[in-house]
Amino acid sequence: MAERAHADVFQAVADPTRRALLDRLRREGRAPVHELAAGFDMSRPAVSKHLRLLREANLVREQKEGRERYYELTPGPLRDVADWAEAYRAFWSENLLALKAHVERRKGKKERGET
Amino acid sequence: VRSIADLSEGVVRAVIDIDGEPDDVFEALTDPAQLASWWGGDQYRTCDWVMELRPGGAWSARALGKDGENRVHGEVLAVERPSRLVVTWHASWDGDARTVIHYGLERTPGGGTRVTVVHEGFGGRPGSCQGHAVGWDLVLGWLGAHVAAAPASRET
Repeated sequence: MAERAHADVFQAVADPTRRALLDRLRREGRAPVHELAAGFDMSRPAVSKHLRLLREANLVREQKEGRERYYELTPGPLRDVADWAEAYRAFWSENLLALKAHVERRKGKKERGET
Repeated sequence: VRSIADLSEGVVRAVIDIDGEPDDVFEALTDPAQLASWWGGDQYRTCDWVMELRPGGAWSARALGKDGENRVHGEVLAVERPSRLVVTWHASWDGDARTVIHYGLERTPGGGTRVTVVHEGFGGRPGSCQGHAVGWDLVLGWLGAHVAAAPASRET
């Protein structure tokens, strides 16, 4: 199973506010912080905190232009999310088949009077 | 087995029908001796299962494979014998990240058991994936635009 390289990515996208921020960046391409913060029912520092977490997960990139800070979406690390899901999909397929074989083997033994 | 990676909900879901009583399936999922005998495959074996079968109880196991030893552990969140078991899952190869596994056991008309597994990968609270304005389907969209050949949903 693939190593979870960026545990932060999962934490980053688990939060609805951060997903909303990512979605806004996806639609608008690139946006200054004050514009991003405007649509949310929370303080500017609270929004900045969410943006910092997204930055640490490499999901957004910050650029300074004069006094304004712009944000841009860099969704590459989301690949980890897809890889995680695929690895566990394969894992459960195999594991449930093993469970089935085990239970049905025991049932057969019980019915034949073996222990 | 039908298993689906549903990125729109942030979960992996798998279903299998087993010819056996729900009680026996529940036992196989929770009895350390039985777990060690079936959990594992060609790539690895599991051993030293510990299962404190009560809410708040701890569970753990060792997995021995070609790439060495791994550990999985977690907490039992809910036990309703023989229909439901909810545990957290922390795997050493997965960065010990917290995810949640829900097992549902349902008696089928034929006298067997339908086992449904829902493995939540993100956030880890039951229902945390629902009711948000921005859903996981958007994650798929972001991926689709930027990542080539992203595995979305597939069946086996």
